[in-house]
Amino acid sequence: MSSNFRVKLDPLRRVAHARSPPFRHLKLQLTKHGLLISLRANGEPKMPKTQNRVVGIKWVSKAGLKKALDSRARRVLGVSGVDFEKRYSMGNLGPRSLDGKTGTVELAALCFFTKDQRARKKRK
Amino acid sequence: MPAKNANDADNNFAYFFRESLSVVTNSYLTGRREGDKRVLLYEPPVKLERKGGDPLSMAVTQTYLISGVNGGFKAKTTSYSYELMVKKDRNLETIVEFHWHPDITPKLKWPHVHIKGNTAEGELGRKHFPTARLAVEDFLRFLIRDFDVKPRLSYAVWKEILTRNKREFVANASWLDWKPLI
Repeated sequence: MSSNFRVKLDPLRRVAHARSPPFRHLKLQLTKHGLLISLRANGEPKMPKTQNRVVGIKWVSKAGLKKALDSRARRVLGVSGVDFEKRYSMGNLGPRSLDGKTGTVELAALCFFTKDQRARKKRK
Repeated sequence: MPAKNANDADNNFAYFFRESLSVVTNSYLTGRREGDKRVLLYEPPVKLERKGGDPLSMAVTQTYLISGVNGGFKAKTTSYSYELMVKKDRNLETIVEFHWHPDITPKLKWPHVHIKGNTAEGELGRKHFPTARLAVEDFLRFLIRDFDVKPRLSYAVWKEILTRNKREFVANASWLDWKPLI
């Protein structure tokens, strides 16, 4: 309503609007079938943002994974990640050591990725 | 068909995994490479949109190994953990956990599920109910079908993604002749 009102007051603006091209976006794309020309008319709604974006991966350092391990250890077992790693390396986390808790083994699987691999090699 | 190099094998595997997860979430996965081993995980758990009921979250961990086969490279899953949680009184309470970790537990090689439930037998959480070898697509379908998790994509799209990726997973599986309970 407000734009119509303004157009009536300003006939020059109305003329200028009428002269604008009937489309807003012109896209040329060379495909194997030939030249593909796509136009989007004025007033045509924009395509919605694509929803099927594939989730990304944030590759983290050892410290980054230690944070994840800490978060999981606190959530699953109620101990810190450091505490868990210490107890796991000392062999204090057998399958029956934490009653009623599952997820210890999954934490142990993460420990491989947080360990200092060089430390495992024996010195000659 | 094996990939030409280790990078392609890694990227292919990760792509299927990421694409399937995109059906229910858009959160970034955390990943870590250590030699020829990889881990992809959601930690802290990610929220899931639901048609009704208490809010749900899931935590996913997948470890895999890039190994050479028949003159090419292939990614092989070495363990998985798919966990579903519900938020009650600001705490995340686990409902069900699907696990498989044959390398870490030599005496427990079969894929299994932990179900939280109290029965006359007592707590069932520590019991390892045997299951088939699951793919993340199976877990996601289970969430959508039985827990009313709302997919982010239209029915036709998400169904096509999960079916295609599961088919690919089975076609490349190296565990089909594996006898888990023997």
